[in-house]
Amino acid sequence: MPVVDEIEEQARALEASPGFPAEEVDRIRRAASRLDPVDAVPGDVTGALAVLERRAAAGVVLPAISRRSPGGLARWAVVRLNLWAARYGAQQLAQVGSATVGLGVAVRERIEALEAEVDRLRAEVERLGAG
Amino acid sequence: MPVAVHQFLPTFAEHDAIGMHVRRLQRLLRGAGYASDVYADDIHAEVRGRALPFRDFRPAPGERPWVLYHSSTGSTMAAELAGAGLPLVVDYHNITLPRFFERWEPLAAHSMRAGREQLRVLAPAATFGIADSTFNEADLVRAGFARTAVSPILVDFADYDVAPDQRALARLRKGGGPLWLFVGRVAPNKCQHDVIAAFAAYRRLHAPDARLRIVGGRTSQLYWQALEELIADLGLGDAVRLTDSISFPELLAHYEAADVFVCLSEHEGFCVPVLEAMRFDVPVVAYGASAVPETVGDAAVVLPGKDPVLVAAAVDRVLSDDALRRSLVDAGRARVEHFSLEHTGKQMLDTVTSVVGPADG
Repeated sequence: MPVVDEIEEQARALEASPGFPAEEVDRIRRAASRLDPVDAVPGDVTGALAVLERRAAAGVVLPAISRRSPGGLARWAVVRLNLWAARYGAQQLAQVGSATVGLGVAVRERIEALEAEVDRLRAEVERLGAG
Repeated sequence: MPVAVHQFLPTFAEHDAIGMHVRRLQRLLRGAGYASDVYADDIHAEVRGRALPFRDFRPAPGERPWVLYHSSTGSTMAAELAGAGLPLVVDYHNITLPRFFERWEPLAAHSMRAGREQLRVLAPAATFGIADSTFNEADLVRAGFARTAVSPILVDFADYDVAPDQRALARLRKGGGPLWLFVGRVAPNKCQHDVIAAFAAYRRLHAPDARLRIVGGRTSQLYWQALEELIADLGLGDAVRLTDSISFPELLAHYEAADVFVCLSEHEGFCVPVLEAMRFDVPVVAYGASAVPETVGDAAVVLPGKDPVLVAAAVDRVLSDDALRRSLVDAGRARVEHFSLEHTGKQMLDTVTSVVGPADG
């Protein structure tokens, strides 16, 4: 679509123009990039810790929103709230558990990679010593 | 011997795109003379009576049953159907890549990984795989499906010919500058955070009074909270609203009032909301990822990136260039016609019939 080329050119020209609020725009970019997806790399202990840190902050406020009328909502809430709260708590616990497992797997992968590296270096030292 | 095509899905809900697809397909199949019931593990209260519990499935005596499984998430149902020894067709609606959920919802990511593994289990057992888009079809081929075809999800645009919520419409139209809209579950793969960033740049560079409405229920509570923090961090509290789930008439009011629909999603198996926007003559600006380019065709400004300045420039151009806006609206109407139930229903029925044979055996 030729219009897309024109739009890209307009964006470049705008960014190069005097008075462009570069600092503000960079701040917007940085703020949003913190929410970008992260690729799980084997042995990424830091990434796994970040997930666990987020998950460990269990929320105590239920994510409750409803279009029901106030009366209907109250009746529905009395019946469901206990069960819902218990399930919500259990789900959060399970998420923390899953994130902890993720951290454990990352640590194990990292240790295995380091052990393999040590083995390789040991063999190399032996080979050099024999030579 | 009469042929039955029974549909199976993990969760059956009323306003869910797959739930509606299943109901429309059931009507088409029954209209063509096939027996067709719906079986699900989790049947939501509002559609109870329209589906049967999965555990109750028994082929009726004297019918030749086909299983049509709708795959969109991990489910224990998949392995059971793969091993049931009945002829099987898989209708694949896409399973989100786990990487999008890894940092927000590890359990959901686990379920997505399981769902993708299950596709490999289903592949050798399935006679045929149907995909909503060529993007989805590629997943089926990678999973080992030998025979596949593309047939889009069934959307009946006549459903939108009802009055929007007038109070919501008046509220949305009152004051303010250009109204941006995005509709879709609040989920990391849909990248609402990029929409917010682009909107912040647009307010700063082009229209300080612009507004943004992000419509959709919460798939990830943590991602939702992070979006709220981002909105506050960028000082957009007065201009951006996360609506959560809203009624259908309220949704229609949002489409009626919107000036532009901005989709920066990175992973969509089809993306019905872009067509909904076109149905309401709302021009679409989209990031060209996953199935979005093939769904929008030439009826949207499809961007190669989603840097905030680029997206803001695209929206500014669409809203200030009348000729471009008119051409997008016209192309959008043609796109909606292309995906009308009249066309997609026939395509789906022809695809299923070509696999299972005529209704009377």
